[in-house]
Amino acid sequence: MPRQYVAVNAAGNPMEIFERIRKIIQLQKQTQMIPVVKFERKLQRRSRGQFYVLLAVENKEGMTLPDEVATVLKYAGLRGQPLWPIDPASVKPMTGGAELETHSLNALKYKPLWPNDMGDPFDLSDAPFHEEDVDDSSLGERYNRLLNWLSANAEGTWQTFARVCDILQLADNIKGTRSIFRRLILLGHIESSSDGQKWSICSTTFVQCATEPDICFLAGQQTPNLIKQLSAHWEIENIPQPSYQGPSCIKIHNNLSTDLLVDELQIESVGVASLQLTRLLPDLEGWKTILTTIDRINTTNYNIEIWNGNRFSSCDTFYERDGRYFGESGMYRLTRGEDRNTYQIVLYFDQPNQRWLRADWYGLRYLAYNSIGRDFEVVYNSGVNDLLIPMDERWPLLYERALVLASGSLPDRTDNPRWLKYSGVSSELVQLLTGKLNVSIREV
Amino acid sequence: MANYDEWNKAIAEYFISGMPRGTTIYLGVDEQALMDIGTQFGQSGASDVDWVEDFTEAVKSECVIGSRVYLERIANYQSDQIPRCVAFLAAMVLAAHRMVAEDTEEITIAQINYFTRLRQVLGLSHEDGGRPDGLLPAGVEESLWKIWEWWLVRNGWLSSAERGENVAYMHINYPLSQALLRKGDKEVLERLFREREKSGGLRRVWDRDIIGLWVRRQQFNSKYLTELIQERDFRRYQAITDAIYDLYISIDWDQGMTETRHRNRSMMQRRLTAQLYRVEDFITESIDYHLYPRQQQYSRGKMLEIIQNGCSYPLQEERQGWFQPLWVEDPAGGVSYEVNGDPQIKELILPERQFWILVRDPENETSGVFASWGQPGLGEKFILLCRQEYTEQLEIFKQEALFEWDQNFRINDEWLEYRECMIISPNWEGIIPQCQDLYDALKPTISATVSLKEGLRVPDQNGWLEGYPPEMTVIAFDDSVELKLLDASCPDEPVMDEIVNTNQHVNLPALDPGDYRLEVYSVGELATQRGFRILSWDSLDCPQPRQPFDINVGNFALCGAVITMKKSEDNGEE
Repeated sequence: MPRQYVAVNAAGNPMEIFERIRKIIQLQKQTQMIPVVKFERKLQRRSRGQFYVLLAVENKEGMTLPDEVATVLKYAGLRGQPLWPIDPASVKPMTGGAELETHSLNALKYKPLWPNDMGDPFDLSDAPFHEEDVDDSSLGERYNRLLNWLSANAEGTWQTFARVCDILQLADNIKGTRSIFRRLILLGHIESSSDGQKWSICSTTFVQCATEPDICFLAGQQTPNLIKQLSAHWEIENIPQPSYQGPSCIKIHNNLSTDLLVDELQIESVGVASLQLTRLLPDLEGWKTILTTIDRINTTNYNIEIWNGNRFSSCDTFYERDGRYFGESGMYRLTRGEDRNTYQIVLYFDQPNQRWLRADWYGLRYLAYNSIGRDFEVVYNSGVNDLLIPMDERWPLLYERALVLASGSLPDRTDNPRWLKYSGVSSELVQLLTGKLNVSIREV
Repeated sequence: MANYDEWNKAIAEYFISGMPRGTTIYLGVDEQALMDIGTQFGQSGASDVDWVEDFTEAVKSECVIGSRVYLERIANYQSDQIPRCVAFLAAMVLAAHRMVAEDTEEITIAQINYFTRLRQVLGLSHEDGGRPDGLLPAGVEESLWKIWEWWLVRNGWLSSAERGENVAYMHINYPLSQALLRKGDKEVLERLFREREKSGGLRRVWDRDIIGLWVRRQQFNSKYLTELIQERDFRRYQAITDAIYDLYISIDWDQGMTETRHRNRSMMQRRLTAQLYRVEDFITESIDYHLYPRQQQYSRGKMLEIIQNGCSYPLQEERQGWFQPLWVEDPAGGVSYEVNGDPQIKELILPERQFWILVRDPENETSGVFASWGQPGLGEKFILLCRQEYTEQLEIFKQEALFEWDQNFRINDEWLEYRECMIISPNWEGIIPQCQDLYDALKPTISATVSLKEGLRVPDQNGWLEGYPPEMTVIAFDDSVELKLLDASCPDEPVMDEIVNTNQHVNLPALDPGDYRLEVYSVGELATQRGFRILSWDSLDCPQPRQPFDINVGNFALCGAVITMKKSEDNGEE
């Protein structure tokens, strides 16, 4: 027997009536027989506040209104003459096409998840430290867990990465998660796909420190089992990152037997990676030419903002005509959609070449500052091999990686919050990198 | 030709290969499966081997001495951790298959005589009747079924073999529950498929679900087949549908049935089937549906290539049960591609479909990827990709509070996406559908789903890391259910056995590393079950990424701290 409806005239507060009906149906365990209750919507109701209440009835017995349904109507105080049976297709015409509110009595609750807020995949800017985290060694342990998990999974999507950071209580928002992603790239543990949507783990390697040739540190895949195997052969030092903002740096103090590394443990020793990388890196103009471009961007679909040195501000002067973009070179933020469907991306517009360039957030900002002729400066203490870089002139990710791979340690904060300190950076490294990025050096 | 351990390993691998994790496994051993498995031993000059006999000889040589069966010898594991009892259990199922082949009205008598068939398989005198020596007392072999069950759970699958409800069936139900289509049923179905295809009532590129529903609307003389296709148990229903579809896609339509039957059954034609894998580009907003080939039992370990426009594309495993997605396809389907690499597998089909149900990645729900990984569980949100013609039907489902969605999105003039769809009500019986195919696909066939979310999951191992277990919710239409949590190390004493409220998070007790199974009972009947593992941090290893990324910096590539110089175009040097 198909689903039929019984309609009764009612007056009063529809929600109160519904609650009465719901309680009676559930008390009598009749949610299978009466799964749905419908009401005429308020604005459409007929005269004197009257409206129809319709009960769906799954009736196997025949054409008479089941006693159970009649009982529900009686106890719900619906004394009008029931109209029965009404097939589902006739419900709307019967109510004069009125909008109906539908209430299901044994349905699962519905709450959509769509879409996932993934933020700008290239906003690899650093998040501020929480002061309370500075001495939290358990934070370092959780970062170690993160690296262990990433190592065992080998690859995944950005969303997975974000989820794991959330579960390990490492970040409470997208920006914080992006910052963790950036730090793991700097340390040589993971790489990102060109569209920023996926990541993969790097193979385990030993990297020689730039200023201490007898010391190596571990980059890439690391699990507790691997560390256990290494400790069977070498003395291992576990050095926390500054303020525990990343997985500990695993350092080995003895000379390494390359044969053992490669043959037994399948670990490659790559030498002084920081210096090798620095020698090969192009200068800023060269870097710009190899950046990924986005060529299908229709700027009319976006709200456009430009970076003014401190923040993004609305940009009304940028426009597109006859397939050509009109606006100055710089870092732009493009926003599309509204509410839950908002999508935002930060890009560098290369005006002379009419290209939208994609890179890490600091890299784009560096390009923007460079395009207006800013004088960059760093401070170098050759006595202790420390390099200080202004926070608001942070280098592009690729160049900063060369600094971090010099020691295996992330930059530390100094007493002056304007500066970031990179340790174990050799003089040769500083000379080469600053030359490529148009930076002057102040020696202390 | 092959010894007991070789058969044991080959049978276990045959029945799990190509099966996505979470699937219920049937040890459906019959003559054809044994011929399939036997030919894969790949021995030279083995084309005339009677693999069924070879199998039974191997089982006899290991498990039977004189007139007695010795189970003690097979109650352990092979060096690769496969239980050694699988081949013996397979022999039990073979006997079950032979028994149900007798389509008598006195089915009870046939079931009582199960051990007569088993004696024949094991080469024991059937004059004595009943359980052979070594299989007494009744149920002594049950521990072997439990070993198989927990091995499946440990590896991410579920067992379908279970005790019978009454005394007569209690133990023989284990092998009987594994027997699905018999040889005669397959012939009846093949003849029907061929006749209807000729008369235009059936197409060659239909989907599994459509074929399953089509068969269930047909009339058969055989009582066994009629009962089989009307199966009400959801898991068994799925397995029967798989078996029917497997038969359908193995038909060589260009050859007559007689020719096919006279050929060696192991040389039967096979086809691969593909589904859709949906990828969305968040920058350009483009949505693509990629061809997503499914693995099959017979595609295991083969180097297969798909030919498209004269180019060949190797099929590489993406995950258990699936190959890597290939090129973008029109969701209308109905296309086939040539397959190279195995004489039995001729082509890959993307079935013709009017709609697709695309679910979130079960291994990683936050990946943003949707594909045809299976039927959505209760409470699970999915995408319904369908032709415009279904709009009115969907509106009716929504009006009747059966089905809900968040938004719809027009893909092109023919196709629409309904996003965040969810089946919200069990009351579909009273609805007279306009589109029977969509109604059948959406109407819930299960009464509960176990949802395991959050926690630190280790993909491909069906496991969560110690200290970060999953959050567990039973999604069901009933307000409460009975929940049992079983530990493999002590399965007879549930870790947890209580009535829990549905549709809300249930706290699991602290769990040590090990293998666990959740069983949900609704009104005393098993409604659903799910296995999972808790892994220790020390157990993690370092697999290589299948798709390693690097940064391309002109003449070199950087991956972590490793620099790889590119080959010079001039001299090929690195």
